[in-house]
Amino acid sequence: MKKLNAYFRSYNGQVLLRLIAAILIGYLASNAIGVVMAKSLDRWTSLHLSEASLYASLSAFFIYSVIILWAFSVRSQKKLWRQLSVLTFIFAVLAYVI
Amino acid sequence: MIWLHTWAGLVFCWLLYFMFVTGTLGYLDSELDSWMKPELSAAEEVSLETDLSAAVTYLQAHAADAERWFISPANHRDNPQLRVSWRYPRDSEKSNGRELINRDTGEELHHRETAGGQTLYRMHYRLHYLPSGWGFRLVGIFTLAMFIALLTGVVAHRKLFKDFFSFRPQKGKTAWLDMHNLSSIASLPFQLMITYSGLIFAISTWMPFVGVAAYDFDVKSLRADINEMRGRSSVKAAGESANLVGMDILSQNIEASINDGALVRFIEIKNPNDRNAKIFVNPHLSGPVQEQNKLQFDGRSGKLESSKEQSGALQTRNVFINLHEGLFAGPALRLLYILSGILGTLMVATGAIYYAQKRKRPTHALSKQQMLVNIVNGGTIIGLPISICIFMISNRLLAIELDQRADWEVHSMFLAWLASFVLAAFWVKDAMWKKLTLVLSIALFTVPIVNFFSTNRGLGQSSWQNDTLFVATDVVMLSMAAISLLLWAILSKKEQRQQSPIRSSNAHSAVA
Amino acid sequence: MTIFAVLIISCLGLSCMAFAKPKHWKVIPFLSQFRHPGKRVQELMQYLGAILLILAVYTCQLNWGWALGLCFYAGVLSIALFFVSLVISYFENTVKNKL
Repeated sequence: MKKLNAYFRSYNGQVLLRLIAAILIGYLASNAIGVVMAKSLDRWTSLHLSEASLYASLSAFFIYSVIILWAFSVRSQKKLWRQLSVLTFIFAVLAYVI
Repeated sequence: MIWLHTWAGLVFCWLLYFMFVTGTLGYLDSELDSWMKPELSAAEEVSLETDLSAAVTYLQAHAADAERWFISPANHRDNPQLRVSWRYPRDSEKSNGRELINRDTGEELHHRETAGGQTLYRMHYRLHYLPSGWGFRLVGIFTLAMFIALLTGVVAHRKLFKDFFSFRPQKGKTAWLDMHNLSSIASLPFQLMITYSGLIFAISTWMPFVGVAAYDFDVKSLRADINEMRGRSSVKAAGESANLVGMDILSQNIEASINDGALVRFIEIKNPNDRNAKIFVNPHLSGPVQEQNKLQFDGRSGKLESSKEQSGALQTRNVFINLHEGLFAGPALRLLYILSGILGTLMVATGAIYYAQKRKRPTHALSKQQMLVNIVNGGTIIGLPISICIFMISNRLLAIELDQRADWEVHSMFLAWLASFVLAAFWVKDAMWKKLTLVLSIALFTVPIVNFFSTNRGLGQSSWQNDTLFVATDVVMLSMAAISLLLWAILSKKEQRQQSPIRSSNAHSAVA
Repeated sequence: MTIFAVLIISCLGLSCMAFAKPKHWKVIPFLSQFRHPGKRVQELMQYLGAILLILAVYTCQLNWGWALGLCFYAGVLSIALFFVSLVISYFENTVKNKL
């Protein structure tokens, strides 16, 4: 356990943590944002659900890339994890609710 | 950001280089196809009716009970010959087929079995030797890495945008950096377009959840909606036989309803010889925005039934896809596509070389990792073009009656690539780049020579007969060979200049 | 033919923008013996370059329409930028070698 802790404090460990945040959590977040986008486009505009979800899918990769960039530009690792998980959670709930 | 750029670039650059090279050659897929079938020459364009009736006569004789027929008339660079293919239902025991047809005799055109440009193009998005699906998935990941490398490159090097007119070729390793910056900034719009549209191909493999969850996990209705949006009709065969409409009537109706100046790309006939026969006509693209959708005709009367408008979202998606594939590009725009692709290839290659050069210390010997990076760099950047030359040469030299000849062409390409890795490993300590460029130059020279001796369409004869494709291929190959020979000369000169000081420093360290 | 016109206009526009800067001004073979004409002219040349680039877009649009024209423009601009930069660096190097 101690070894693991020390590893995550080292440079490589920090990078690994950041990669996990960016790639895994970022993937979840971008999917959630995409779903919210599709559902809200469908609900509040005249677009059909199929069109709304296609538009959302088209922009999903862009959202994902922006999240990855953001994850690597935030200084503090703690702040990154906190903000990213809050973001993911909010959008997941929204996706479920709408 | 710079850190992310370096690593996203380095980890993925070799496969990205492969994708750039095969993708750029993919803009010449049909041309390469024709080059690899030297027995055939492009059919002259005649009327749609002639092509359709020849194709339907052939299909009635050979695949009358197929579920779908596809006919591509010979009117475009994509189909230099009249081409037909047919498909049976999935559970049927009969096998699908495709043939090139001679429209005068109605017989198949015979040509050597070849992998052709299509196989090379397919490697761009499916790779090779991987179980089906895995190549496509991998390529999706690499495309995302490319997109991130592009964005980070823009963000990290935004200072460069103010002053990018400089390239300092005599400053050693900064020259590589300058070349990397220059080629990427110059072709940035193309790179962003090609990478993002590449990602759009990967939506169904890597981002399917957005659509599925938006439909509350009701996959069935999602599929139905997608099929409806794409205009895929679900016409079932009635089981009663009926006569197909005459091709004279059909081609008249097509020409009446297709846009002025538009050409037919391919015609799909579903349930031929059935009461519910339907005919779908897909026009060629004239620009990135699709102007006319596919037209649906009744199979018995030949009357136009519908041409549905595409929804805005689907059009947006198709614009990306069309821009990526560039099927609409005429010769001039195709050349621009290829040049932009070459700039992209340069960008990846110079980035990889710069990474290796930056970490090199003049006084130290190379470490093991640096050596490995150098070997992979040399084996990929120079080795891949060599192996593509071997691919083209093997098309001419392999025995015509060889079993699975098309596969062997690809095998020889990858064997050649492996061999160039071995060469790179042999030479890594001693002027690897110089020797590899010499090998590349020889390989490039060999292509027109082998073509000259193995076909009757060598440079002399083809220029006599205005055989544009073969002349162009030979000229391009020869000039690329000349360029790599020039590179070899520059590298040798540089080596001579450097030799004396390095020797003295080596002697010095030996004494110490 | 239009494509060559667009290429030439873009090359001119980009060269205007590049040579507006004193750093690149110094390398033009004939003009470099004179002093850089100052800030006003620099701005003017930059505007001229921008106008030429817009003219190139307009030519593309006239000839091919927006959708296809922008494809042509992006392609031509890439080539022009690459070419102009190579030419400038060639001049830069000959100037340095002379010194």
